[in-house]
This record gives sequence, C-alpha cells and structure tokens, in this order.
Amino acid sequence: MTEPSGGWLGLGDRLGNDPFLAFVVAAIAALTLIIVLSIIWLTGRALWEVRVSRLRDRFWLELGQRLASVVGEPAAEAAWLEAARTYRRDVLQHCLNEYLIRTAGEYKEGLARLYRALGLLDIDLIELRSWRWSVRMRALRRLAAVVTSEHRAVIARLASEGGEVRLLVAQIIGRIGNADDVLPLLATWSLTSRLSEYPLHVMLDALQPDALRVLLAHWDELTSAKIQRILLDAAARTVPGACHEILPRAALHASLEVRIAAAHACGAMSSPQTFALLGTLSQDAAWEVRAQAVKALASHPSNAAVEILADALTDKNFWVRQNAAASLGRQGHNGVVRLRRIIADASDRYARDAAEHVLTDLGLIEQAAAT
Amino acid sequence: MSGIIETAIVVYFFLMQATNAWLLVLSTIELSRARCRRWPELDSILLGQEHTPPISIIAPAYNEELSIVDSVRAFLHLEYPNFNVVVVNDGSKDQTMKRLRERFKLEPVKSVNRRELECKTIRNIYRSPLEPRLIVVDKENGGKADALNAGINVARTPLVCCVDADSLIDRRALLRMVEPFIYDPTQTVAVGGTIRLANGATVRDGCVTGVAVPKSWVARFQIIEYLRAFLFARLGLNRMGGNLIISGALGLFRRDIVVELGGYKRDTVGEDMELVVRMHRHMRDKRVPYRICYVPDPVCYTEAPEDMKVLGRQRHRWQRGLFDSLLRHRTMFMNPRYGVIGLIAFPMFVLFELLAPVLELFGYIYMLCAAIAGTVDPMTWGVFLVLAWLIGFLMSLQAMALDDLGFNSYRGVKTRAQLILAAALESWGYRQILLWHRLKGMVDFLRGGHVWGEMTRKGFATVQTPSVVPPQAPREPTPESAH
Repeated sequence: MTEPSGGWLGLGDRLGNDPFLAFVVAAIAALTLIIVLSIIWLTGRALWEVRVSRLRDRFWLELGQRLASVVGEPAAEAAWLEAARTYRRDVLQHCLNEYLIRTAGEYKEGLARLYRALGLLDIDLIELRSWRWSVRMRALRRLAAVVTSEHRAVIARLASEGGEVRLLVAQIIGRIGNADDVLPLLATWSLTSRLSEYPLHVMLDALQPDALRVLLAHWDELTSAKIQRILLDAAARTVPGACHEILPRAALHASLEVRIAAAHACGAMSSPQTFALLGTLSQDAAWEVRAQAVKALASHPSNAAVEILADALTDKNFWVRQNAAASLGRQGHNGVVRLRRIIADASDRYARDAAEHVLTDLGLIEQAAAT
Repeated sequence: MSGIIETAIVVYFFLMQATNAWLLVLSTIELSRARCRRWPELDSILLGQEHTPPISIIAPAYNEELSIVDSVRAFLHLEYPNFNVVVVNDGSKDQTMKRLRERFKLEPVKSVNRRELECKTIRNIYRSPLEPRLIVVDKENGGKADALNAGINVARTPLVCCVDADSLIDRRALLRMVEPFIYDPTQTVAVGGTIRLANGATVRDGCVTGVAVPKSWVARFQIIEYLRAFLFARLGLNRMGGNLIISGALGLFRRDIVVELGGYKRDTVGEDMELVVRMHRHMRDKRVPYRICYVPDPVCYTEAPEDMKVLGRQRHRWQRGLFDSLLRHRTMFMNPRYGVIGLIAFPMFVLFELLAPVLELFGYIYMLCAAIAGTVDPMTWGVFLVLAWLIGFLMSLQAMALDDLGFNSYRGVKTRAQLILAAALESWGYRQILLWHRLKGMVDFLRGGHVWGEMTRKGFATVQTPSVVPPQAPREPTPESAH
C-alpha cells in the first residue's frame, strides 16, 4: 500500500510511482471490459433464444403437425422430407428427437426412418467418433432411438467406455442386439449393489424372448452369481417355461443371490415343482432366502402353503415373519382365517403382531392398537 | 504493524478471488457434463421400470396447518414410479394433524417399526385409505432433526428423501436426483438438489410452472445469491468431491448409511450440514470410496424472506449452524487423512464462509479508520473498493451465465436487465447488513444460543387456489432450513 498523497488529482503520475495502484487500476479496466462483454453476451443469448424458439415453433407449426398423417405414406413422406431439408440441421435434430423420445411402436419407427432419410443418423455416427465426451454422449442419445441392428457392432464397442455411456449402450443393445451382443456385456458387468443392477434389468427386459432363451442356455457359464440372479429374474417374467430346467440347480446354488432368484422365479410360475422348491427354500439357512420364499408362496394358494406360512410366522427373523404374514393375507379366505386364529390363540407375541399388522392393512380388523 | 494488516487484507482478498476463479472453471466443466447427462428419454425409461429404487419422502411438519394439505398433495403428485410420503407431525400446536386427518381420512395402524434412530415418542402412525402411499407419523415435539429421525425409522426403502414440508418440489425432482444412484450406485451415498427461489414464480397445483423476477429488491438480491451459491460454489466443489452441504429443503440419502451414522443430530440448528460433514468424516475414516454429489437442475423452490429483519434471522441461524458443524468436526481441518475435504473444502468453508463476516467487516472498519487517520491513501482505498465491487459483480454475472448455459431459467431481456441491476447493487448496503447478522450469529453461538429464528412467509403467487399455499399470517417458530 502507499503513503498518503496530495489528493485525487495527478493520477497519471501516481500510477507511474505506485505499482500497486497501477495494478489495481489495470485490473479495474480489464474487469470493466469483461463485465461489458458479459452483459452483451447475456443479452445476446436472450435474443438468440427468442430466435431459436421461433424457428422451432415454425417447425412444429409447418411440419410437426403434419407428421402424424405423413408417416407411413411414401409420397407424403417424400414431400415432407423435401420441406424439412430447408431447415437447419440442429433444429431438425432437436425437434425430431423430441418426438422420438415421446413415441413408441410403428410411429416411432416411421420417425426414425425420416431421421435417417435426412442424413441425421450419419452425422450422429460421425459425431460418435469425436474426442469430446459431451459430443459423443449427445450423439449416442440421439442414436438410441434410431439405430438399427446393422449398427450393433459400432454401439457395442462403446460399452468399454463405462459410466453413462455404458448405461445407454446396454439399453440400446437390449433393443437392437441379440444374445451374442449381450453375453460379453453380462460377462464383464461389475455389480456391487442392488442399484447397479438397473441397467442390466433394462437391457434384459428389452430383449426378445428368443434371445433370453439363448442366454439361459449359457446361464451356468456366467461367473457372477448376481448376474445369474438377474437373468433368472428377467427370464422368469418373460419366458417362465424356459426356466424350469435350471430351477432345481438354482435352488441349491451355493450363492444366496441365486437361491433368492430361484424363490422369485418359483413365485412367478405355479406348478407342483415350483411349490416343492419353495417348501425347501422356506427352510433355507439364510433368512434372506426364507423371506423371499415365503413371499413367493403368496402366489401358490393352497392349504399346504398356509401351513408353511403359519410356521414361518414364528421364524426368528423379523422380515420372514412380516413376509409370511403378508403372504397369508394374500392366500384369501384360508389365510385370513389362520391370521385371525393366530391373533386369538398364538402365544408368540411377534406372530400376533405380524398378523394384526396385515389384517389392519387389509382393512379386516376394526381398529389396531397404537404402537 | 499497519503494513502487515494491509498486506493481510490484500492477500486474503486475492486468495478468495483466486479460489472463486478456480471454482468457476470447475463448475463450468461440471455443468457441461450435467447437461449431457440430462436425458428426457431416461425419465420415461425410469418411470416405466419396476426396478427403480423405491424412495420414502420424509416431510417433517411443525405448525403447518395452512399449507400441509397442499404440500402433501404436491408430494403425492411427483413423477416417480415407486415412492411413498412419510409426513411427521412434530407435535404441532395448531391444526396440522386435524387437517391431515380430515383431508386424507387417516386411520391409525399398528405398524411394527425398528427404532434404529433416537427420537421422541411416537404417539401414533396413520395410513390413508384414500392414498395408500401416505403415512403420517404423529409424535411429540423434538425439532426438525428429531422428526426426520422418526421418519427414517418408519421408512422401509433403501433411499430416503428429506424435504421441508413447505418446499415446492419439481415434478421430476426424484427422477433427477436418483440418477447418480443409478450411474454410480456403488459409491453414491447422498445427493443434493439445487434450490431456487419461489418468489415471483407462478405456482400451479403445488408446482412451479413459471419463473420471474419478483418486485422485492431483497428477493432479487437473494436470487443472485442463490445462483452464485448453487451454480458457482457447490457445482465447483462437487467437481472435486468437496460438497459439505446438502440443503435441508431437499436431499436424497442412502438410508443404511444415515442409520449407520446415527441419523440427524438433535442438538444443532444446522442438522443438514452437520449430517453431510459427518458422512464425509465417517466414510473417510472407514476408507470406503464414496460420492456425495449435487444435481444442478433446479429441483426445489422455496420462498425467501422479503423482509430484511426476517432475512437477518435466517442468516443468523445459518451462521450458527455453519459454526456448529465446523466446530464439531474441527479435527478434519487441514487433516490429510480427509483428502480434498480436509485440505481444501473445510479450510475454504472456514476462511471464506465462517470467518468472512469477521474479516470483511474488520477490513471495512480498518480501511475507513486508516483513511481518516491518514495512514492509507484515500485514492488507493477507493480504487481497491471499486475493484472489489467489480469482482463481486462479475461473479454474479458469471453465475447468471452458468444458469443460461445450463437451464436458462431467467429468460427475456427485461428479466435479465433486472437481475443485472440487482447484481450491481447487491454490494452496496445489502451485503454489509447481512454480514452484520452473520457476525451476530457467531457471537450468539459462542454465547450458547441454539434456538431456531422465527420465520415469516408471505405465500406463493398462485394460479389455481385449491392446491397452493395461500397468503399466511405470521407463524410460530418453524423448523425449516434452506442452507
């Protein structure tokens, strides 16, 4: 800092003699310039936004509204494409993508066809090779709805990037890929928590039944028990018949995860074989398996199931008791009668609590006592 | 001696500006990545999935009779496939419980819950036959942290979302906030959302449908502050993994981790920040890789005070909460064991947040005295002040630019001109008044003050009356926080 000087005048001389003051004044000049530029930029952006909005609005009005009647009509599509080519590429990409992510089925396929005919898919594929992650990511997002099975190899290669790219790749592969594309992904996917399973569920749910059957044939080769569980879960929902063969092995699997999947799968299909397996699983050493087995018994209404569930109400684990009570509630009349009898007669306080809780939830008890 | 003080002031000033410049670079990178992650198509995929992680929204309510029904309805209208709402009536003295009971036909249920976290006695748990996703917990008054702990005890989902009952949450907030748990499920333990001001906004059915600049200058200044705080500081800190605050108005947590930590501390006014700092400490002590991150999308709107007196009380409380959290975990300060938190984030909070009121007010007073005494050249002092103002102004403009690039919330030339003017005027009076309140907060904390300040809200500008918060009379002290 400086010694006191003679006043505010003579700034030029002062700047020459006082380096700190000179620095501060130079900084003020630079900042003023940056601030003026920032204000111009903010104002310019506001004006640009208005212009882009108008362009997009024009597209919606002139071409967007016609899309529904154009798709599927070759002559109308050709006329529409000719009109669309007068628009800027970014407007077309944005507006068509807005439609693509909000539609499904044949109409979506038609939109994708128009997108490809405008050459936008080729541009996206070129952008997929960009060194910038953000450009690749945006291109992949647009491609998610428009790529076809002929681009399988290009998309599958991106899976090695990990992170969000891998998540998106899994979803696209689920739609356009086959078992050969999915198997390498399953073999290398790292699962560390329930939440990390989500992309796999999305991919497997999107697969065709035939592809799932092929994957089931390779079930024993998968090294991760968690992935075996997810595959079994997905297959039990889509192609339950194909799971029968591996269920006995799954129910005796060393991994708790796989035994849980076996319980889920048995819950999804009702047969003497699955009921017998659930009976075994409800005696499993691991409470997690017992809890899922008794939960799955809800879909096997019978007196024998009621007996197994009533026994499970005295299990030492809280969640097994809760699930057993809930399953009894779903067994219909027999289950409800048994729950009422447990409330009236059982000496086990936990069993009574669980039974009362379920009947309250079902609205079959007048008023539960406060906690 | 005076030379040393002046040098210290200049060094502190330039250190702060260098940190801000660094944060700007980091937040620009972070925002650019966040933009690429925003997929509308992912929303529809998530909405259609049965595997999307279930979430319990925990909303503590204390004397919220005027707004509780609308708030609950707004929560129930959130777009997410698998969630429930746990409202915790924290011993309200008004008609909060009655309003809930009447509107949702609540019935007491026998619910078997584990008491994993300490909380005051739960009187009853209610379910609604009209809305199966709603659970109401009626308990004895114990403060916001206690109510949140009770709600977490009742929740049975792997993720819990802690909110303020009077916040307006964006319809897709849960979809936005669950994304980090999906992308990086191994390590993500908590996610915070961006809070914006609802002042001047249009509210329809409990949801903000349009954002505008309010008439009140106090609210306009706060818009600039919130933009700076969330788009500048937190986004930058997020990039290096140094976020120490997840706003109490909206935060998504892994339930098992919160339970492992013992839940919210009940003897602090800054329970939201304290929990996050403790989470960092706990994970680093255990040497477990983790991520506490922040979603830049504006997902929650809260009404800011438009009266300087009420605003002063709010800042007074925030400063006490900040002081308390940093003091409790002081061993993390400059401790290499805590990595970027101990060596960068914590010292930054101490230097530029906690001590800012002390140092800045000292700087003003010292320079003024020195100028009067003639030991400092008035011209040098004057141009230095102009420089400080210009840097502050530029920071605000950069925050506006980040908002433009990321979300474009404040559109139109007129709106921008109003905000630019607010950014230019903010440093002349408003900032100094708040510094005074913050300083008072520190002094009161040292004296042992741990009470919540009284908060008066005006209510939101509304479009449709039945489902929005009507103008309210001044309330009793309310356990709210919006760091």
